[in-house]
Amino acid sequence: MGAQYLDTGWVGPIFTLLLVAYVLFNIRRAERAGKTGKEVYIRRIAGLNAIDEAVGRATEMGRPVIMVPGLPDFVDAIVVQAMNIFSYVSRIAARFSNPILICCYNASVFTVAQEMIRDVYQQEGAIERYDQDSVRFISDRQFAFAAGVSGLILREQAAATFFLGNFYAESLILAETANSVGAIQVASSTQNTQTPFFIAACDYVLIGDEFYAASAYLTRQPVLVGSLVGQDWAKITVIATVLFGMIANSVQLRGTTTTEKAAAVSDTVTEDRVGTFVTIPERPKTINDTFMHEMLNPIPRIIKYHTDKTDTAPATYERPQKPAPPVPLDAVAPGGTQ
Amino acid sequence: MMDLLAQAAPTDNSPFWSGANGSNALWIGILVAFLLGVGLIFLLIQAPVRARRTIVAFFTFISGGFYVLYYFWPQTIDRQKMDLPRTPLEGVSFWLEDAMPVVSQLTNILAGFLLGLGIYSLWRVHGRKVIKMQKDWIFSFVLLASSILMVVVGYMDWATKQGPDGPKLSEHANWHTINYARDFLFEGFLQQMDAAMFSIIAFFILSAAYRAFRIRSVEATVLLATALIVMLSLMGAVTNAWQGAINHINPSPDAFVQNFSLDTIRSWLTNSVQTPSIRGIDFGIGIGSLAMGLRLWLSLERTGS
Amino acid sequence: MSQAPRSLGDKLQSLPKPALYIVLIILTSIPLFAKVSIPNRPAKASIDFYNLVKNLSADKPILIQTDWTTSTRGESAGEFKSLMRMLMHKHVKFCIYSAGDPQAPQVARDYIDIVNQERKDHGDTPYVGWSDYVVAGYFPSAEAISNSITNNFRTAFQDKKDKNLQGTPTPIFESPVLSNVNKVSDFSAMLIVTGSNTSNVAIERIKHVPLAMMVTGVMGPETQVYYDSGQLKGLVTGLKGLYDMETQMVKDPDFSKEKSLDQGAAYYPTLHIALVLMILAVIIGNVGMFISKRRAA
Repeated sequence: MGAQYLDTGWVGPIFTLLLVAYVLFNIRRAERAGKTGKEVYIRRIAGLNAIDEAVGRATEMGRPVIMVPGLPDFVDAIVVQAMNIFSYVSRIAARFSNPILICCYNASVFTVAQEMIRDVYQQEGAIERYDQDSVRFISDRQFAFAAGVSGLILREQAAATFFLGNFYAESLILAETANSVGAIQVASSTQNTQTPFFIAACDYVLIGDEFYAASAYLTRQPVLVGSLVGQDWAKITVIATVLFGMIANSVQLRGTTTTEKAAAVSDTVTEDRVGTFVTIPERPKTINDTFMHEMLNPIPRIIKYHTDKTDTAPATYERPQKPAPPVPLDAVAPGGTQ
Repeated sequence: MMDLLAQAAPTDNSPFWSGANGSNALWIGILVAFLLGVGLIFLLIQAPVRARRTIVAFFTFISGGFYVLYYFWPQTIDRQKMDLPRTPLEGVSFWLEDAMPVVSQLTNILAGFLLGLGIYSLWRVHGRKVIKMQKDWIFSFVLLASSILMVVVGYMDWATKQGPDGPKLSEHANWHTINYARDFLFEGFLQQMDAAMFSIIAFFILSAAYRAFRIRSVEATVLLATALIVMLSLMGAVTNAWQGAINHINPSPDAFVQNFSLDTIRSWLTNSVQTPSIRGIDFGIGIGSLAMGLRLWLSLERTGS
Repeated sequence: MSQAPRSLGDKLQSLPKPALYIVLIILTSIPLFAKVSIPNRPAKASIDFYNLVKNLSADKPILIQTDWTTSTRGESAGEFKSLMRMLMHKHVKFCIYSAGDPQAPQVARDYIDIVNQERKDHGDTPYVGWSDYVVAGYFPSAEAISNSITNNFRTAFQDKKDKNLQGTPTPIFESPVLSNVNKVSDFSAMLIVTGSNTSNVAIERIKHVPLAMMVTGVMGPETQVYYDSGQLKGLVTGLKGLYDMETQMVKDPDFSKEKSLDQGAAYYPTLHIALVLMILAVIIGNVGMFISKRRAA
């Protein structure tokens, strides 16, 4: 039951709960600070400062702004965050009557995007300027999507492009195509492998969690700013853990040891002694002897499965059984006739 | 224990939540669920505007709460088909395990319906372009024509495989014209176009590198130097020549000069610079995703504002 | 008013893209006509992967997750074929499934057939589906199936069927490949051949079995961290990794009959040419920039 966590996986849930506590606590703090008029400092993020400039340039040139919320398989936190930023961009575009185009990879994202952008135009009092076709579903195949969006960028001669979200191999195709038409590009990928491509091809890149800081940076809502502070507290906790682990390992890896935690059954270790300290011939300490390794890789109890046909010992978990389903009246008895 | 959402096999003792394929009970269940769904939507539309946010937040919390519970609740170990839970705690974990595939399928079903909306949007946009012969209408015509062709040919190909001669069609010798047509469109066209689009990246990498790798600042110089080292280390001819030069100075594996072999420098860059950087960014993205998900689950996020 | 003539520096900095692309096409086509053999020093990660596969025993099957399709066939197809050649030579049985793409299982079958044809050509017994390998099919959720594999392999794959020797779809646990497999630790290893980030999902959730991967070049840096930490017992990355595998097979007397040099050897010279061209382009751009700066000064 709860032994599962005590044996193996308690670090993950504990850290998750800690992060939740940090975020909720700081949201509360920020809301209280907001009421007194104080503002929390967020460092400058060049890519986000460039949004106004990009949309303004597009308005001057009379060319559309194209936005792509990545290639998600469903509506997840990354897509919602991308759409939050696109809502901000669309708001500015709506004020300047600049055409926009949002290209969606996933049909569920398409429906969510349509509603969000319609709401934005409504809030700006520009609902008559809202074009239903400004939010489009292109394709749910990766390279068909890339081909479609590239074609749109070339035909529409986009002046500004925003690539924010989950991008994979098609990132460079989209970025280079936008570059070929002279568009200002702001990009961010949550896939580390694609960030270098964006850095090479785009004007402004949001790296890592600058993407998540974007909505707090742009709107300065207390909830978002408080959440950002909570995230920073979590990162400090991670840094502290890494530093502690580095120091602890540096101290503990010196010298030799004559005991170790038995990880498996062997000639000298019986099943009931797995996970306990056993005496061994003296040897130099290894990473497995450190506190950090023990904390992050605890040794689980031996569990006997019912399906272990080669093992004669009884299974670890014996449970009561469901009653057998009633035999249908018209069933054929073995050897009998119906 | 409660069978809510945990769809049992049709032969199990829970006829209310499941029905055998094609049975009257199943059809009645579908009809009742449909009517309930329509009723629910009607009630939502009638709900006062102020209450809508609360209703949406409630359903969001319930939906997300299931996955949160699944993550935190201890999972069952070595559960057998006819097992009953030993304690209420284990009962909840049994229910979660049974309900997870059903809940996951709800997402797939929703995605399936929404795909129809996406396709409708596609047809509307491009159909209007073709009918009114607007700018670049020929591309829209190609899209519509190829989608119709793919659907028709794909369906006919599938239909031929459902008949009694279906298994024979695994051999090319038994193919009909429609099977060849589907193979030509799918394997010959679609797969090759996929591969061609992927290959275009090679050209774009060349032009992006030519444009981006300039010695404009200290950071740009460091970027260029590390990129050069990594590119050179990928070339076997260069690494061999480089290693040959180093071995010419001192061939001993323990010699200090061996630290300057291309593989060693690249390994150092990868292990000591690149890996920690990627790890750091991953931590930030993971924590950011978690915080974002928490805000969405608790409806603290005011989307679109 | 006429524009000032462009200096050499400006011209070098703004070479037309079509010219670059044409040069790339011409130069990378050269290896199609002139076969070049390039010396190679396999990376440690590739050596570890090779040794892991080489030391597999025919007594225990392995589990293979294959998530690649034709879009990444330039790297992944060669990696998969090398792996198949080694496994088939050692008579190691395997179970294949995919968590990334519904087309992946069929693509895997197609390339198994290619390697089988090679075996027939040099007089070896081809691998027979059901007896020597099974294809479990596609699982829509990589996270769910990876969790299930670790928690209870039999439950995870219980509904999966493959065609038996008579061509009838039969539960895969009745196959000789999986009849003695009850949990994931009954496999001697789990190998993942992928071009997407399903490798990360597997790393997060698969336990109790040695894990090794064959990934594309783009996924290399991200996956390298797991090899460095010891979570992966071997890693083959991209075209270089594929060529590492092939060069090791060439030098290994055990694999003298197998077709060792294939895609890696064919494409490696092309990689060299493309990289040299890229380096030249970077140098030309920087030379142009320096000339322009000096002229401006």
